[in-house]
Amino acid sequence: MSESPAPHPGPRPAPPHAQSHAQSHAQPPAPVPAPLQAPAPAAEAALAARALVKEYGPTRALAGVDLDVPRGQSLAIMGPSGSGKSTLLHVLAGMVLPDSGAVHLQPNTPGHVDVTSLTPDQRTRLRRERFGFVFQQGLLLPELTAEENVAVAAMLAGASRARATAAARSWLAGLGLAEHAHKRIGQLSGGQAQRVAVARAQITEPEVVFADEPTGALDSHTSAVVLGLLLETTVDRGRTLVMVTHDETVAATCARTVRLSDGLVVADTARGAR
Amino acid sequence: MRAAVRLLPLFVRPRTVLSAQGILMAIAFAACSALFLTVAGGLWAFLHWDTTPDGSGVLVMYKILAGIATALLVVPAVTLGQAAANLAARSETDRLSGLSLLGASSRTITALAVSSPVIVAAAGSVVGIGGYFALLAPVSLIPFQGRGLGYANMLLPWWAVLTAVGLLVMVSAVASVMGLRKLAVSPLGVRTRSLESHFPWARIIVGAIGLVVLYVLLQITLNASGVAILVAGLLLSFMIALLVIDVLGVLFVRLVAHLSAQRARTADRLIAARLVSDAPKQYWRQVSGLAMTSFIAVVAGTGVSMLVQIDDQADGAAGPEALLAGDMRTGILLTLVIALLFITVSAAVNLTAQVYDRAPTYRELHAAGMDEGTVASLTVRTTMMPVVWVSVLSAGLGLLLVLPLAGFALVMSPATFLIMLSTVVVGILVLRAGLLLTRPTVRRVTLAESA
Repeated sequence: MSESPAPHPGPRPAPPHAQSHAQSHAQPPAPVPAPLQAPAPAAEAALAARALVKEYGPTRALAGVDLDVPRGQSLAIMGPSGSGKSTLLHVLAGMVLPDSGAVHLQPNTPGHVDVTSLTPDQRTRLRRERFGFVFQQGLLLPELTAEENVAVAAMLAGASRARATAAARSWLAGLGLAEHAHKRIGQLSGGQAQRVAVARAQITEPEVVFADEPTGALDSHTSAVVLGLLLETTVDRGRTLVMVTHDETVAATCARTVRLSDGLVVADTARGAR
Repeated sequence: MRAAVRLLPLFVRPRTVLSAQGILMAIAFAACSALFLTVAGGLWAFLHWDTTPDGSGVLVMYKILAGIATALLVVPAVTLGQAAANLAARSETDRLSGLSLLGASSRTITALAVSSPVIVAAAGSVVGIGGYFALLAPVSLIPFQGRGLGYANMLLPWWAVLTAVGLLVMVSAVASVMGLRKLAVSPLGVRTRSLESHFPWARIIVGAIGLVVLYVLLQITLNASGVAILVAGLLLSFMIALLVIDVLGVLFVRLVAHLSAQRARTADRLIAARLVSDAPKQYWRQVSGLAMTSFIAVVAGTGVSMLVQIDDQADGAAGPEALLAGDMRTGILLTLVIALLFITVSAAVNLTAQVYDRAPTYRELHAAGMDEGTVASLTVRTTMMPVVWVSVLSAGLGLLLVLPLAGFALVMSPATFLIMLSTVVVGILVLRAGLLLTRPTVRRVTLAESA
């Protein structure tokens, strides 16, 4: 597993699978630039969140979060239950709109998008084309084979079936699942299924990968393997990884850990990890 | 059981009964009871026709044909009842799991799971009685033997109405219990039992035997002398053909879905095809009523086309015979339209149940970038793919059964024959339109966690 396959290596603003799609639909629509609140985002930030507030009824999930995530960084978001860590991930990924505040993708670059100013359809497209996701349950469809599960992500981004299948096969082989490509998800172990989820998140070569408890359902050994692959396929390739976890061991593998409590960032620790 | 009775007021609350699913179930049962009572009212009116002045026996034939039409409509009516009960069972899953966690016995869980659909079925069916009274007004004007059946003649006695409603409620209870057997309720949640799927050798063998028997029976029937043997042989062939369609339909749905998955070019087509090929029996059950309808449209359409032609050529025909062919055409069209209404409502209800069943999957697909329109498209495809292919298969088998006659009917009386076939085509389009009713559910489920 020294090197994962890169069907379409090289940094670029949109995945090559989606190029024809992107050409026909253009890039995610030009956002109306919203004035960033102080402090200004770092020049190399992949994501910049400012004054995020989100309430669910009487519960304040986010109470004014500012966060910069530099390009190529691995960030762990930790905190007790109800601290707002999953809400923060969902807001950063454009799955949920904050009540106030803004999220910027690639600020200060030509690919800058104000995520919070997009329409629901535009945010859906943004997630499809520029983000990748690995969740605890893997987002995998049990009716599809491992190969089809991975290919679906590329097909959604506009790739042809043949091209998506070839890329999926390549990613699965790189993650040690070549002989399992035609198996259904139910025929795979938890670790294998999560490796399929990693392949699926990577096939569109997203700029940012969001992971919500990606190893939460795995034993410690399998967890380490999956985590290694996740880091190898993201930060080792210059992509950004934002991961929610409650596991200190998992968080320790990330370059930085942000801790939330009652919807506020209460600690921000950088370490030497990748 | 005592525990179930004590828990019942807590479990069945107005909020749950009047939820979106509850209302949809109630509408389905209301439609089901209104349509079924109307059909039964028609049968009742025919059964009370005075046939004494008719020496030809034609009027008696009306009674037999009305009985056959009612019997044929039992299948789509039961399918609709099952669909609504299935939706009810699915919507209870979270609470069933909670009860399991609290240590409720499986009997208590079953009793409570069945209670909600039974209550909704009863309420919907009572509303359906009102619909039946309203439907009678136009239906009673449809002419048979030159005049309408009459509103008063189509009114069922109270005991017949209660029996029909009771039967519907019973269907919902039985269907709920059957649906629960497919669910594994545990304290950790409710999931569909993963049943090991084997290659369907038995089904293939039974289907092949059925086809051979059908062929032999047809040869014997067509070479037999005597009208009684001919009619009995054709009726038996008709029943066997319907059974063969039922046996082979599942295989056909599986094969079509498998081939569709292999050549799918888009994500929604691929996922839809795999969902169907993974559970062909479930999707077949949804459209089996349509299979029967398509088959009837071809076989009965052929027969009636020929009768109409013969009728037109018979100069000076008088008495009840003169109107028989035209009335049969009307009766078959009515049966087809009512069957298609049953099928449309049950398809919409079934699809809604499936959308709720797969809500987490659709939500997560949307989170990963699948837009809501694509999610809706894939859910509709899971229903429409079997619908279209099953109609083609059933109509094809029907044509095979009456091949020489169908050709003759098409040439001699194309209008009647094509009207029968086009009823199915229009029915499929209505069904497709009916599936639009599920769009709000797809939107609600898909966007549940999005802003």
